[in-house]
Amino acid sequence: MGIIKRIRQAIRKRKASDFGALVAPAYDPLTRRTSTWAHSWNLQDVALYRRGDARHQEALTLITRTQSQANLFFFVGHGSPSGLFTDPQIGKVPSPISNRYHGCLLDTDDLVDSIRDLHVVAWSCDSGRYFGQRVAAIPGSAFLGFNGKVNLVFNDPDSERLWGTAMRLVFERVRMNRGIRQTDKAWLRKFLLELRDKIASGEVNTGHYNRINSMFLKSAARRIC
Amino acid sequence: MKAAPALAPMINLNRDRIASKFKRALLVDDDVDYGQSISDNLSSIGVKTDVVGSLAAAVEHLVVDPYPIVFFDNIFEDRPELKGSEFIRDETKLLKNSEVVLMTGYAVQQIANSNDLEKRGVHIVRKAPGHIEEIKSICEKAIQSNIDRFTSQFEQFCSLMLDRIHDPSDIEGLIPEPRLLRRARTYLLDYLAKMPNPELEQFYFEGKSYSPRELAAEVAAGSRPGAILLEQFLDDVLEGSETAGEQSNGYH
Repeated sequence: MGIIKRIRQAIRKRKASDFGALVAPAYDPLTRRTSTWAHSWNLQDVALYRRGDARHQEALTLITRTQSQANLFFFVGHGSPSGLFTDPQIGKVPSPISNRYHGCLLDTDDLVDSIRDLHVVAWSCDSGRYFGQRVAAIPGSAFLGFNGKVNLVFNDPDSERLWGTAMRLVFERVRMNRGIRQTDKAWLRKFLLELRDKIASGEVNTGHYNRINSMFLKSAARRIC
Repeated sequence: MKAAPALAPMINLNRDRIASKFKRALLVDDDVDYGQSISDNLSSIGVKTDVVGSLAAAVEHLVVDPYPIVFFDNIFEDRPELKGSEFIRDETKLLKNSEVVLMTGYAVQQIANSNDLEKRGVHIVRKAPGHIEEIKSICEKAIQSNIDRFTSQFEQFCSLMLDRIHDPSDIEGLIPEPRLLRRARTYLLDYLAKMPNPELEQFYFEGKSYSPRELAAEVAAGSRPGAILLEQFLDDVLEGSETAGEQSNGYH
């Protein structure tokens, strides 16, 4: 790795100790795309952890750090009811949630008593079912995510723009508010349904994918938790 | 009232098959040897037991497929702050169709009182000599009660069907109208067949990546993902917008 790249990475990580972190693992066709989207967002004051950086130890350090304000942890990738996934080669071993396709980035066992003021936004399947509940039970903490499967369209530029923008705006909102607010679930649901309406009215056009994007937006809106 | 003759041959309950569905248990205990010993004992009465070592792993199993019987240890050495009894108290939705057994080596009554477990029908078993027999007995009763309940519900359902179905309008609204379903399925298959990149993985759907062609194959085969997609499609086109003031954007 070149010296400039290393310095940039160090700066990004130092920033992480002050603000938030976005973890976007890249290890299968979908996550390789979402990780690229995450890279293009350039969220201000949010350090990006992708590919080899999206490892368990790194994530554990991020959620256990203490800050003067809410600790923002954003995630985009695959999830399970009791945790978040990363590349199987850099995941936590052993973990009840890991399998041959997915390694464990974080599971509920990582939510130790010392954690405080942790705000997790996870754009991933299922993680709201139990992991999210456990996060929300931590003092001063909150979780925004989904309690079912989250479907999306990728490898199509217009659809990627639609889904990538939706994700970016959610993360951006929580970053600007310095945490998750009580109204954010309702806001996200309304926002996804409005995107669907924009497809119906032609304001947003994903061509032949309009119908399936509309279906997926509606199912995502219903599964927010 | 005359029963519909065509339904009669279908109403033939395979009791052995039904029993096998209920002879499954999940054991949540971080003591692997103890778990194995319980599993061996339960297999002697025909119960297949899956053993997991943490509450997080239990969730992974329970959300995928609820178990008729679930055993919990109370204290886990790696997470002493999260007790089995509290998990049972908090996760009522996850355990609503299961017979729940809490196994503990400590004061049984105190645990029961502190979490209102007995009121909610949770069995509390003290890990003491002879408790294996108690566990077996709970399992046998739970299996029998499940079979009885299922059989009774099934018979009620059959009798209702035989008495009532003389006119298709009796069951209107209970199942999707077949013509509508067929039309929606044809439209969906046609829509997927016309995707610009039929071989390219483009859809992340219900936990798996699909190309349009693969997704169409699921719909054509009537598999679970295919059925979910068809359901979502119908939901999308029939309900239209969920926000106020918008009209349905039905398909043509």
